[in-house]
Amino acid sequence: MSFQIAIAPSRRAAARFIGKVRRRLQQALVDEPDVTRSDIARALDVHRSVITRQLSGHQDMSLGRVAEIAWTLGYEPEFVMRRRAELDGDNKPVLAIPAQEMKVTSSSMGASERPASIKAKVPA
Amino acid sequence: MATILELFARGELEKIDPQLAADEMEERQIFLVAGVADRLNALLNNMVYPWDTETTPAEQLDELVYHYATGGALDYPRQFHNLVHARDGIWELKTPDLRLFGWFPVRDCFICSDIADANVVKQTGQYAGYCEQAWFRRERLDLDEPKFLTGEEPSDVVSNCYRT
Repeated sequence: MSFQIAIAPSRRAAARFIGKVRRRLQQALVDEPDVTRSDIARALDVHRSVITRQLSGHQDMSLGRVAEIAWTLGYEPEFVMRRRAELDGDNKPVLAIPAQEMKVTSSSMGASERPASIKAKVPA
Repeated sequence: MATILELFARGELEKIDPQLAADEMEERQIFLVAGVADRLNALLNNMVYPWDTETTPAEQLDELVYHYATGGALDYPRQFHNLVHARDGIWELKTPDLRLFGWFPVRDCFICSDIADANVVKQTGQYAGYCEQAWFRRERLDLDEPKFLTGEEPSDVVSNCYRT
């Protein structure tokens, strides 16, 4: 018999996304042996324990803090959204309508640059 | 004596379903000793967690199971240790609010004998007790010998544990 952790699919997606971001920051810190948590804390004018708690998952991080830590480590974060259908395996039936990809970077995105699927949903 | 699959078929082990997407492969597995699932549900329903984070203990557990199952890094030099050897082949998988105690009968296969509230474990110093209990449950389980992998480094029991 298999055991499933009972949480809503949307919360599952949220928890896994938060985990991926946090773990990516942990990896970035490990990849920069010359930068310590104290260095990050000094650069962001917070106590070292705040950075430790945020990176270890004992304290939430705002999106701004994610970007700040990434920047301090020499990275620029990027946020990518893909339609869930694109993630399905080879057994998934082919969709009649091709799935869209939406990619958001730190640069602003003008209305003329938006994919058609987003134009319809975002007021001009 | 029985294999893991035979114990699973007999209901003495339950497997955690990591609920992966169709394009994700399960590279590692977690089994629960019979009774742990019920205790886990009771714990998650009644747990008071002090960190006041956005993710609940159940969500943290789901994320850890997902990360573990998809082959994510579980250990970094000097910091961020998700997998820690306790003693006598007993290992601990960690989230901010939970501790999973158990052992690895084969590489990439964790048998969990107990899941506990990390804060209670730390405040009351119950690490030794949980390790002792895991050792006892391992002895009682009708599993083929050798029942567990030896070695104290995460790489002794898990593949690719140092890198995502």
